Amino acid sequence: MSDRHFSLAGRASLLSAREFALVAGQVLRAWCLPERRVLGLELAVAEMATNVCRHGYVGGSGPIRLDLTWNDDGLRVAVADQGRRFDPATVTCPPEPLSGEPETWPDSGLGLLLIRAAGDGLDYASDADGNVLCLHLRDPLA
Amino acid sequence: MDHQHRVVCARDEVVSLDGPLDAACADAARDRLHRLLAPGVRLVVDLSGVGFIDSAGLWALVSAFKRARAVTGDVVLCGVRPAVRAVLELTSLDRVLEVFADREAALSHAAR
Repeated sequence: MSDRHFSLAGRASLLSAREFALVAGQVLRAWCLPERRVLGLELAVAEMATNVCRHGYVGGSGPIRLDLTWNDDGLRVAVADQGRRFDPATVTCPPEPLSGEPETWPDSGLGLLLIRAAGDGLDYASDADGNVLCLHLRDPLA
Repeated sequence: MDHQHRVVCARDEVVSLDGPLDAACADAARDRLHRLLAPGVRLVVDLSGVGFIDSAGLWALVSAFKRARAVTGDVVLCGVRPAVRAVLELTSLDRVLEVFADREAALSHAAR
C-alpha cells in the first residue's frame, strides 16, 4: 500500500470542530476504513478540535491543523495548535465504564475517554512551535 | 448505578432535539432541557433528529439527568440513532439513561 496523507488547516472554533470531524470522516471513508472506525475517529477529531478551542485557545480562536497519515506503521490522526499547553495526562477522566452516582463524576475528561477509545494510543507533544495531540491506530482496517 | 433508581413520575414531557448535539450547541440544549424539568416530570428526550453526539452533548444529557434527580423527576431517551447509540454504549451512559425504541414506546411505558 502506498502511503496516504491528508492535511487540513483552519481556525479553531466550536463550529469548525464539527467541520474538521466531517472532513476527516469523508477522507477516512474514501480510504475504505470500516464505518465503525470512521464514526469513532470522526468523534475523536471533533473532541480533539473542541479541546484545542476550549483549552488551547481558552474559548477563543487560533490556528489549527489536522493531519491524517496512513503508512506501514498504521494510521496517525494528529491535531496541532499554537495555543496553551494541554497535557491529556493531567486530566481526570470519569470512571470507565461510567459507574457510581452521576453527582460524583468529574465535569471533564469524557472527551478524552472518547478520543482514546477510537485508537490504540494517544501521545502529546509541546514545544515552542506549538502542541500536537496524536492518536495512533495499528490496524485501521480492523 | 443502573436503571433501578427510576423514580415514579406524575406526568411526561416530550422534547425533540435535532441536528448535531455537539460542543457548539450543547449548552443551549442543556438549558432547554433544564427549563422543562420539574418535580414529578419524566422528560422524554426524542433524539431521532440527532445524528451526531460528542462529549459536550453527552454532558448536556447527564446534566439534565442530574437536575431531574435533584427535583424527583427523571430523564429518558428515545429514537436513538445507531451512531449516537454507539457513543452511549461506549461511555456506558445507556446504563444510566433509560433508552426506548421510539416516542410511542417511551410514552406507553409504565412510568407512573
